[in-house]
Amino acid sequence: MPRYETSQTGRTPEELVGFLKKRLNFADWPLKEGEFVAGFSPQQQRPEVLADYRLEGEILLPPVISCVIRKYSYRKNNSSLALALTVIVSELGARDAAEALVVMIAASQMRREPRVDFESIGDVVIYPQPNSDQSIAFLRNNVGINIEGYARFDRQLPVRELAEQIDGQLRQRETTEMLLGHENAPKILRFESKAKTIKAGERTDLVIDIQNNYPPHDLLFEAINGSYNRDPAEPDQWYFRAGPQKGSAQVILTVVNRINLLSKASALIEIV
Amino acid sequence: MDNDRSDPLDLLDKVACVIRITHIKFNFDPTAHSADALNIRLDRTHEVPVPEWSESLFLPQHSKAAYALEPTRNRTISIQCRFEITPPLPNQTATVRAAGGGILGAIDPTTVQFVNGVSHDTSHLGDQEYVQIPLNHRCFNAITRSDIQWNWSYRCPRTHSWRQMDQSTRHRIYVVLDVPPAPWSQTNAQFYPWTTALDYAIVASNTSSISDPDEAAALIVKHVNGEPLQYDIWNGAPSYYASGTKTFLIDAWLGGFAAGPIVNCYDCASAVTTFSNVLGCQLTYQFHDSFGCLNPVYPIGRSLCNNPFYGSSPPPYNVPLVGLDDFQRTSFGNHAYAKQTGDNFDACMRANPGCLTSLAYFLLAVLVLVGTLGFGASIARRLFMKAAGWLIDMSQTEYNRLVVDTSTAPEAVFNGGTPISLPLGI
Repeated sequence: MPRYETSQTGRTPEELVGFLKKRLNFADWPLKEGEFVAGFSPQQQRPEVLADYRLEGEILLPPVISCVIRKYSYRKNNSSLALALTVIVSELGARDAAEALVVMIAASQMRREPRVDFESIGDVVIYPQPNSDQSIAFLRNNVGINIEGYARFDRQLPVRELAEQIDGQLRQRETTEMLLGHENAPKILRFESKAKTIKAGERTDLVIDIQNNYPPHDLLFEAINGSYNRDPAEPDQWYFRAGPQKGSAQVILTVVNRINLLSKASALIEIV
Repeated sequence: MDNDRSDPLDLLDKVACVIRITHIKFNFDPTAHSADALNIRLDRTHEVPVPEWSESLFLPQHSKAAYALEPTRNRTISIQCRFEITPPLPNQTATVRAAGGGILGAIDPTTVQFVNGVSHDTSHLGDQEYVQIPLNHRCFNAITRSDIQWNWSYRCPRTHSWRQMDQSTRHRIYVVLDVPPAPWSQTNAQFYPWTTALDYAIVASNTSSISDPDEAAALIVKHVNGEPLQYDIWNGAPSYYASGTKTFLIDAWLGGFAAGPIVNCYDCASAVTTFSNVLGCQLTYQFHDSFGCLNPVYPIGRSLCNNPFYGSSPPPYNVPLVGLDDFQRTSFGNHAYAKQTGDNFDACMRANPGCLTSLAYFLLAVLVLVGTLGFGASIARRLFMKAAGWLIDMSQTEYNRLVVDTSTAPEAVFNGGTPISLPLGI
């Protein structure tokens, strides 16, 4: 049988985030609420610093209710130098993006004494390694950026230059008072199940109609009392399979477009 | 087969009937798993439909089922099959059986009632067109993935000779130690164990034929550590673990390491927990803060190192190995690994136990082998692995002694935390 060890002296990741916030004077950060940048992607508006770099991969992290978090990995052409650029776009606002950024910075095994600065880059810039520009995180309005370099101490990557260029791009963007329903965001025109009532274990197709000005988009689902599935014969067709229990079921769809804006919708199904 | 051509009834048999099998259900009761198969999926977005086999499926990998050893021990497990007979009459009785079956065994002759040409069984609460058939000769006692084949035959009503059905049925059967615990589930359909994870944990990790959960987890540690990955010596940050949601990015891991080759201990701990638990092990993800200075160890994909963040350190700390008790070297602020029944499993690094410790593990392994006349082979194998530096099946004290350097007062200051169990999702 499993023995779950707990401890009075062990600190949780949440406590570490709390310590980090205190150290960085999180409560005093000069955040700009109500001024939203309507999406950002380094692939859509590629910084000049990355001209010699190729995108090796990008990965969309599991959705936190109101934030899109996507990590882009770049490698310099004909070189082992590499860097990872993580973009956080919150549709709730600057505080929400800042929370996600601090959680990301805290997720490291390094013992470090980060410092914060409100003057140079973004509304807030954090140097996780205070004596090095190998990693920089900053926040501009509702967009958080975390850049981590993978290079030897004496082979500087253009991390600072990249942060400055991205911040310049963000500053030039018009801001909006809210992101909900913004024209840059993907629109879910229709999301429903073909059948509203199905028997336990039965399948019903999901009807999805999306309008997106920044293709491609990613579809992320969450299902309650059943599962979401892709039809192997028709990969564009998604369906819901009811679980064995009778009652209410739900499928929640999150659509994320290329500039990291999201839309959500849900479909209710009754299992009889 | 005793399809006797000289039987005088043979001619009659030839025109008597034709029976074929149309569907097989292995997991006919999704709410239980002691008398039938587990709920499983192929991956995040593809289910394993039930019935798992139908006439259009010819390859074993297209008909998958999984069983858990512990809940099925000393229990009769069954499958449900649907048959059709021609010519169809209102009421007929025939007999079916199947040879072969591998670990699920041959199927004894079973009487099947037919109503209007379709099999009919009222002995269970499911679809009555399916006949419930016990697997009296199933034989599994360890983790395995096995492709099996049943060669079905039948005997028509009022006849004596057996006839081969036109089609054999082929299936891929997984056997795990117990019902897979979190992050897997038997109630949340999205997190039913994935066969892609089972393939990784059984075939790629070479756990087939293992029946001990500690040994299974040890082999997962060995496999994860041997992946083409390298410790993040620059930032110590995760690539396959989302700290905000505490989830393992299993799709990226199984999808050819889509998040890149640089990892930290959160990634390794979540991989070991997830892939061990899909085998029915009982690992939990442990977060340990504060952790401390390292003894010389081999971080995943790296050389001997007691200064883990040498990638971003200025000289003289820009090398992996510095003075043994140099307390200004970089250290782990925190660490993550997995635990099973209180013992540690860590794929993020290998220890450098030294000759004496290795020899002690080695001699202990030999003693166990001799003393138990070979019955302690699993324990001995784990001791041999420990002798080679694998951080498996170790008490916290044993683990700390090998990994954490508290030999001087300044080094000891960095140590002091204890592990806590955290939830893990996928």
